[in-house]
Amino acid sequence: VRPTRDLTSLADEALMARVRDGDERALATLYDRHGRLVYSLARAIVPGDADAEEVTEDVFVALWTAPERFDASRGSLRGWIATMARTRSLDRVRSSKRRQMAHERAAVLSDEGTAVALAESESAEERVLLADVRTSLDRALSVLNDDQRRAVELAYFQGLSQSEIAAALGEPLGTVKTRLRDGMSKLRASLSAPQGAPR
Amino acid sequence: MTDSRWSDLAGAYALDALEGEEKAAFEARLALDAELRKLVDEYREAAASIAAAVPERAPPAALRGRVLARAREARAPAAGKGSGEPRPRSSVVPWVLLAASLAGLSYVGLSNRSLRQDSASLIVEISALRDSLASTEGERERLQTLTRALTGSSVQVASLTGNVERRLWLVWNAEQNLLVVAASGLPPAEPNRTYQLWGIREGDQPVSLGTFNTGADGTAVVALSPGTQPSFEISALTVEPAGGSPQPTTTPFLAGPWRAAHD
Repeated sequence: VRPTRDLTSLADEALMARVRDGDERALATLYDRHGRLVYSLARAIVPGDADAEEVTEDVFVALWTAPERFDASRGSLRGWIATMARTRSLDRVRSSKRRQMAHERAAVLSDEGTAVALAESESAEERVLLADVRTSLDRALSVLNDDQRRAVELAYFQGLSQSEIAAALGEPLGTVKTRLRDGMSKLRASLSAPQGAPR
Repeated sequence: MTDSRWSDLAGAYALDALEGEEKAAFEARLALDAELRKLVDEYREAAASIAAAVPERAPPAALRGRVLARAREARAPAAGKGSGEPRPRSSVVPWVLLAASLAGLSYVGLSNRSLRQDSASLIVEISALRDSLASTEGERERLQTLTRALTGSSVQVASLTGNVERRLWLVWNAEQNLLVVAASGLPPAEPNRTYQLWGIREGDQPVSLGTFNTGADGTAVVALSPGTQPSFEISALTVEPAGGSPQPTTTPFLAGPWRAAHD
């Protein structure tokens, strides 16, 4: 299935209307538009290409079989897809015996001081991937201070609860709550242009 | 205006970082507070922006073909706006499997599994929902309906969830033939469509428990009279043509197990 020129010019919401009507070309167009995001995010959370590919399949099949779950009044399609990708990736990590490996990856992502030692357990390719993620996140989350960023990243990439973050960092629960509240507030404020248009 | 004790938790909730009673109380509040729901949606967009910060890696070229092949095998889109009548399902088994999967259950051994283990936390949710209703002027009737349903020795409760932040709380009082449905984050069904609730027993066809719709704010507290006994393992929600269907014609998108309210 190759998306036609007229479909690639359509915005996400118009494509979703076609998906609801069973237009497979619209699904292909959405995959071409957002597939990289889903795969890249999954790859940053799950420890392996095969799992990331399965997450990507799951996300787009869910979008196809239950498009009514997307509600444009509540946010962008890209945001919804990213949420699905994150949730499915975390589910996959939680349900596997590879949780410990993911813990190590989170430590690599959240603490440069331990990165070198922990990265020794990763392949060279994996170390390059994690270093890229680290650099990119540092830039994108620069509105947050280090403490806020660490708490937000542990919640987002590791799926840790507030109390789990407090335990992982050795900080009081109240401190972690404040960091998450302030960090998310800054992120929300930093969002400017609406998303969801063709890109 | 939303109390700051709730809005302060919205960011953590959007990251799924709340847990236990705090999460239950927040979700109960969320069911009734449109301003808070909007705030959570905005925080979810903020959280999703973190994904955009991850450096992009190209998926394998073959993945596109696999995605489309799986989609082709899966059934057509569910709640087709403008797609004509939903197509009848040839077999109920995949539907039940999906509902069970959404409910967090495995189909095999469904009836033997203890469905009561989380009843305490669910009661906390419903109680918080009731408290929230009580705090809202003009919601007395809703409160009375919920309270009436919760009173009795044979009450069952269920919390239906899916992969999104829409949620249904169900309270079924068999003695009163009263099934209360409390919905949050559920946009009104498309024109000529309705939400239909199903009861599912392993090995049986789904049984319709009634239809309802939500208001413009995505919430509803409605009382149904199912006319059947609450002997189901799980319930699931679908979108159906107005008036409802004898059997589900679309994919369930919310599901959850039934539990006794008073163990």
